[in-house]
Amino acid sequence: MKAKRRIVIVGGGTADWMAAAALSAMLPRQGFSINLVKSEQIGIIGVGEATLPHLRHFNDTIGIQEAEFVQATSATMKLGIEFVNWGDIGDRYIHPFGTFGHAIQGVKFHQAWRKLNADAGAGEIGKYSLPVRMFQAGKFDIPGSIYRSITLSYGYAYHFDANRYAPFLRQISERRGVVRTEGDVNVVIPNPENGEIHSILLDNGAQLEGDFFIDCTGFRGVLIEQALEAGYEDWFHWLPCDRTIAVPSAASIPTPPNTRATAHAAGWQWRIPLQHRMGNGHVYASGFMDEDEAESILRANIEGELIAEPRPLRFTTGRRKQFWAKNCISVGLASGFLEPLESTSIHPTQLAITNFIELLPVTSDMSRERDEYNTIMAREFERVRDFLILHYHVTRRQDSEFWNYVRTMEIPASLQEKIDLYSARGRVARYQQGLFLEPSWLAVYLGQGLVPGQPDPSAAPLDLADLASQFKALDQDITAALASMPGHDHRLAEMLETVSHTQ
Amino acid sequence: MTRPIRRIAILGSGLEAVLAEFVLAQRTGLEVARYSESNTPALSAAHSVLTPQALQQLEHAGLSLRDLLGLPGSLPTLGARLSKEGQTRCRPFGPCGLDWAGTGFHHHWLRARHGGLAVPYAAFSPAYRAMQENRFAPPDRRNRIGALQHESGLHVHPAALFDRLAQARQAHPIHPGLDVDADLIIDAREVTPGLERAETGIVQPCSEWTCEVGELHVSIPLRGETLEQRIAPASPTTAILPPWTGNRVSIGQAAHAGPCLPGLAVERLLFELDLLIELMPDAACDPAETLEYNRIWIEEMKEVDALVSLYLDVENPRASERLQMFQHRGYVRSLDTSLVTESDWISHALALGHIPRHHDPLSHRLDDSRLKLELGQLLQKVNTVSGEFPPFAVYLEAIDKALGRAEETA
Repeated sequence: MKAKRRIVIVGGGTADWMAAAALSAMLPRQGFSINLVKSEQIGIIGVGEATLPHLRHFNDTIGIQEAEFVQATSATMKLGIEFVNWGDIGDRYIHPFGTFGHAIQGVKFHQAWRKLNADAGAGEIGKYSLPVRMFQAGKFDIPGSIYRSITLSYGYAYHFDANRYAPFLRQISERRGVVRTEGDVNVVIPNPENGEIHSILLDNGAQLEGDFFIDCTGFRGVLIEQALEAGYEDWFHWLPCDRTIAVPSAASIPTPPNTRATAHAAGWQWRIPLQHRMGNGHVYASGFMDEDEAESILRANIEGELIAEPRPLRFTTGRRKQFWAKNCISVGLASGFLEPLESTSIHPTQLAITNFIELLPVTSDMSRERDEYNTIMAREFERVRDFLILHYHVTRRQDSEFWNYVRTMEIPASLQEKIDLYSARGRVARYQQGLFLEPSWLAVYLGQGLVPGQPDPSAAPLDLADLASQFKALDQDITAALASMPGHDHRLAEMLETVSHTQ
Repeated sequence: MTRPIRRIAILGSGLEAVLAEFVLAQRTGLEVARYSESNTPALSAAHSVLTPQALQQLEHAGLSLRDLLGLPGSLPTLGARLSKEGQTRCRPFGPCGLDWAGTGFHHHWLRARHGGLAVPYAAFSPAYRAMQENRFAPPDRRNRIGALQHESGLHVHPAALFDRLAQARQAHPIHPGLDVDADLIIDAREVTPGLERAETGIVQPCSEWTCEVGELHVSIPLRGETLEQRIAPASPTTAILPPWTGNRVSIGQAAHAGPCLPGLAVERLLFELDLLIELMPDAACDPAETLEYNRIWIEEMKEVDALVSLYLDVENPRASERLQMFQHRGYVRSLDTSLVTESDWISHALALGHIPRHHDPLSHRLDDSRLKLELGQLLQKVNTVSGEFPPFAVYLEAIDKALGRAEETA
């Protein structure tokens, strides 16, 4: 019988149990053993409580029932992110998980909207997006719940308590045979022949051998950096925020079905509604603001009563130069950090795990898989990076040194080309792959007031009266769909009710 | 405020030029004029295969399948039969098999093959048996294999297609010193026209591709004749260069004269036109749009070249890297391109006999007995469905009847 291949996850935080749960769900049990070494010292940072719709697919893959997840993690539903004060102080827009309208006679909706809006007025583009309207009305329902095609025009994600997600995943993982070992890594023992990790020696004297190691030790990168020296690419010059202060406050009702990101003088503040509390945090650039000022801004802008003391954290935005080095991949904060402005703190973890599963080595020579994995992960990180920089750079704010810096800084050429293309006639660069596609870029361009210089010629032949009538019909369709949707809290309660009935 | 484009000039006397004229006129409503250096159309067998994707795009531009079926010589096709080093394999249009347990079908097939399965990959498409037995039916989602449908394309005679597209469209003569008055000039001059005919072979619903040393020889059956195409490596000077500069953009062979696989030539041209329409500039072309067009186009052409190089045994670093990875474990990265996708790579590589040494370990989520059962049941369904396809000749008679040209068949 062939020996099982041994995967050792060195953990802390949420990433380790995400990796364990996914690997134990996806890998054939007869071929692999999974051991998770948990270092309690690392703890859960928990800024990644707001997610993207992709997490639903991840949960599905693991076999998690949605209602059980929502109950176990005190989750709420999320239709998008509300951005406040980004284009300028007083500006407000929503980046929805869904589309704006639909193509009209082959012309992209936003181009048709620009034409109608310029000539006859069409109202905010968000008026023609169901998830935006749902957010404004505080409503929520599962896409496609009612028989109207417009209800397939959006997706949704969750806000959840990361401190509760990890134990939830742990239960699932252990049921599927993941073995947990208590301890912290003291020494990483290399294989003298090839430099791969042979085993790890724990602080309690135990030694664990493995064929493959997954480093989830957070910023420390105990295996990937301290032992294997994979290197780190620092993006501080483009994304200068490097500190955060997090603090929970009392929950508020009705629960908003969205994350809020409010820009301040040298950074931004998140608001993440959970069932039992509100998550808050201020991400700021220490080069432009000190900690006391950052904390006082945070406190002044929290709606409910604080229920814990503020907790400061430091980070360096960037990515590991090699996400996979030797026989080790880095997952979660060990692989890099992108500030959670677009709720991307959990997603790289998910991406790392799913790509690793897809490229699971088939022989002891894993060089091809490693190169491929590093290429894919670098591309994904860089695309998200560009999208984050966009939020800072496309602004009219001139009220602080920070905004003057980010507004005028030189940006990656890949991003400058996209902005130039949109600025000309409102066209969005085409990509088939990647996390943020056309509707997301549009939401930010439009929301932050980037106005194209010229109309799109493709919209020129559209008849204005016909357009007005189609826009009216779309508005009515959305209004009718909204009328049959429950409120967010009501729908959440219904979902939780199904769990209590099955228990 | 800049002036919108009013007039487009297309240079070229071949099918690519007339197709560009037709599509742009239909889809943009702009004034489109074609300038030709010759009264004799420059035709190439490369344009005689219309893939399922090309048919869809032509339909979108106003040229229906019925129109195309009615052209003299048109013959439906299910894909290609490939001969290489004494072995013959099929590459049908559309998918083969179904993904199970979150893992691509080809990995399950590979695993079974490593375990002794002798059934080829393509046999998990209804088109495979139909090609073997000279049967034909278009896809029909109502049958028992549901989503696992084959797809069908069409072989057309380039001259017939040219005549259909050029109907009521007169080309202007072009001569040295002519000053073309247009806001946008599209260069669609074909550089390697040539229409080689062969003796009529069996009327069958697929083309025949034969890989010879450094060359691909393709026979494309039509009704009444067979066209031949020899695809050879490009000269070393055929580089991929940005096709759009100022108010002039090259398309098709004028943009990149490298070799192209049958089917891809028309698909590529339609892709270029679609992208051009999406990025249609004002009269003063904006560098941002030009840059975007060139960026996307270059990436697409690199993928096309890489795929073509599999057939021609020419050095292509992108293809080598991808093929090595595929041969190692059956993996192809998700691509950002439209003309060539990861599933194209898988089907072409397998059809050329590149069998990976390993399969995805995730396939083992299905145990051996379950895998055998699933594959057996799938094959049975596929064979039952394709066994019900009528003989090709019967299908053609039915088409003729529907088109009202029964006497032609007789």
